[in-house]
Amino acid sequence: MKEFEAVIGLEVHVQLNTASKIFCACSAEFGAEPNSHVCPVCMGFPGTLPVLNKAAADKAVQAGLALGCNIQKFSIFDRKSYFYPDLPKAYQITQMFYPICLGGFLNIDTGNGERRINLTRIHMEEDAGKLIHGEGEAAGYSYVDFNRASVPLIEIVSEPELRSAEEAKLYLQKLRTVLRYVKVSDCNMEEGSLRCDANVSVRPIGETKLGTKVEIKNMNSFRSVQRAIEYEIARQSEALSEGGIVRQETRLWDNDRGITLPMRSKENAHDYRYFPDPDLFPLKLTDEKIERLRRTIPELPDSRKGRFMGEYGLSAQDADLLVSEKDYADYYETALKTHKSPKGIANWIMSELLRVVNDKNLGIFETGIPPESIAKLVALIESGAISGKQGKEVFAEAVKTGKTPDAIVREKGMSQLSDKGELYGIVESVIRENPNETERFKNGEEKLLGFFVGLVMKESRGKANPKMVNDILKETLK
Amino acid sequence: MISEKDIAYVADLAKIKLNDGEVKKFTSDLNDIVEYAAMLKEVDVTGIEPMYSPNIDEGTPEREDAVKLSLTQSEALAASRYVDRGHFRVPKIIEGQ
Repeated sequence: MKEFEAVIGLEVHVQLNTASKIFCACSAEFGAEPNSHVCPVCMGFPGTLPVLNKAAADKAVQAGLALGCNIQKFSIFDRKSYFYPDLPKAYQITQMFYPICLGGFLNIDTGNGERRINLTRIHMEEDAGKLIHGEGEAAGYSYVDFNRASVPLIEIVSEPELRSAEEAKLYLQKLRTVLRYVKVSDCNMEEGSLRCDANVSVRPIGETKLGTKVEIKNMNSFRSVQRAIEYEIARQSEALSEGGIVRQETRLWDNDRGITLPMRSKENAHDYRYFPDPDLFPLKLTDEKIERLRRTIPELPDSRKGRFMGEYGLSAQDADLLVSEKDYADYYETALKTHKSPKGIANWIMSELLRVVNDKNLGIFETGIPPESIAKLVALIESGAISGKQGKEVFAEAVKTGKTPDAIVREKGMSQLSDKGELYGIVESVIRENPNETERFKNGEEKLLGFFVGLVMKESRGKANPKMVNDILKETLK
Repeated sequence: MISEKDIAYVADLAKIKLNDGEVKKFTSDLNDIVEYAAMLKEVDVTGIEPMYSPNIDEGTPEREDAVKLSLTQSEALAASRYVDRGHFRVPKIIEGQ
């Protein structure tokens, strides 16, 4: 079989997290009673007029700034016309000819180094309503809920520069991270606030012309995006190497069967007759406004990762995890203000705290352990006041009760015995009481160290600082 | 020139059924209109920016992102004869199946 390479471009729809819809004042909230967030404007009643939501435009600009786009001071809303029951006006207001952002890029970390994936554009548009398809007795019907109709979206279009399903997944995850940093969307694929279509083609390695592209839709998770693209690359490569052709078409991903299937649609269904919407004037942005929005953009993950590695000596992998959500990175740096132990705190966040965050599906600031507490806990362990094992107990108690580490250590009488004089005393009495073992140890049976440590721990009722006990024993038994 | 085929195509896009006589009539009507509008081609527009909108200076008005009361579900559904459990009911449409 000939070797093929894949050429992939992604079109990602992201719901902006505004309070109201893009062209009317209905709530844009997810999950309300059907058809309870609707009005004559978003239902397309005759005579109604759209008025642009300022926050939707601002968020589109913020997304563009975070992705390095060229923000357009002049953009136009167009009508995309087609008939479908979820589209009340029979046209979608979108931006075809003059979108709000051009260009831009996203860096992905492929494992073989960083790759820059360029963006074509970002445009604003309104979402369609939601269709539920009847089953059983209602199999002949579909049911329409217009709550989602006219919720603001941005569509982020990449250049066809991704070369594998893995890269496509990395791109999507990175895009999600960046958009969450600038807080324009929660980017939840399962709830549909981030949706992805993929354009996939293959060509023999070395060929520079693009192959025939297939658009894949209906992928509802990062995993299904990756699987669908993998399947499609294999399908197209096989067709071509067997002398067949790839048809230009739209295919739907069937997640249960793990395959893509051609979507049946009418030949001319995609003649959308775009033209400028006469109900909306062009969207104009001033330099002042763009600059004001630029100042709202926080330090972004790439830069923050670099800084965490340089300033705090974290590994790339640890830095990646800590910057994967803005809240994680903020939490981490807040904790460092209380106790500057970059690696110690990073380890506690990554191993203990994120486990609680994931198990309980909480935000990192909602676990009951504020950053000051994790810092204090690490400080207690590092100063030898409590052992690492006790630290885990304190952590568990803090998760349960919300108490501070200091209070827990005090209440449980946990503080570790780190008084050198007292430890020497215990060590000496243990040695005195065990002359045989002491002799054997001195003759080279070094594994007996554990035996002595055990006795000292027992004598101190578990409170002795184990590291110090080790050191003192080695010194005394010499 | 607009052909009868173009008219049939546009009518199909707009989901309008036309008989043969209507196709002929609209072909001729639309050609008249296009021919009339074609007079604009005589104007020299070299160097003139296209006018996308009469309000090019100010740009589109914007509103603050504040939620106002929507219609109630029953008000929203009132204009349709086909409603079911809070939804509009339509003939089943699933693109692609």
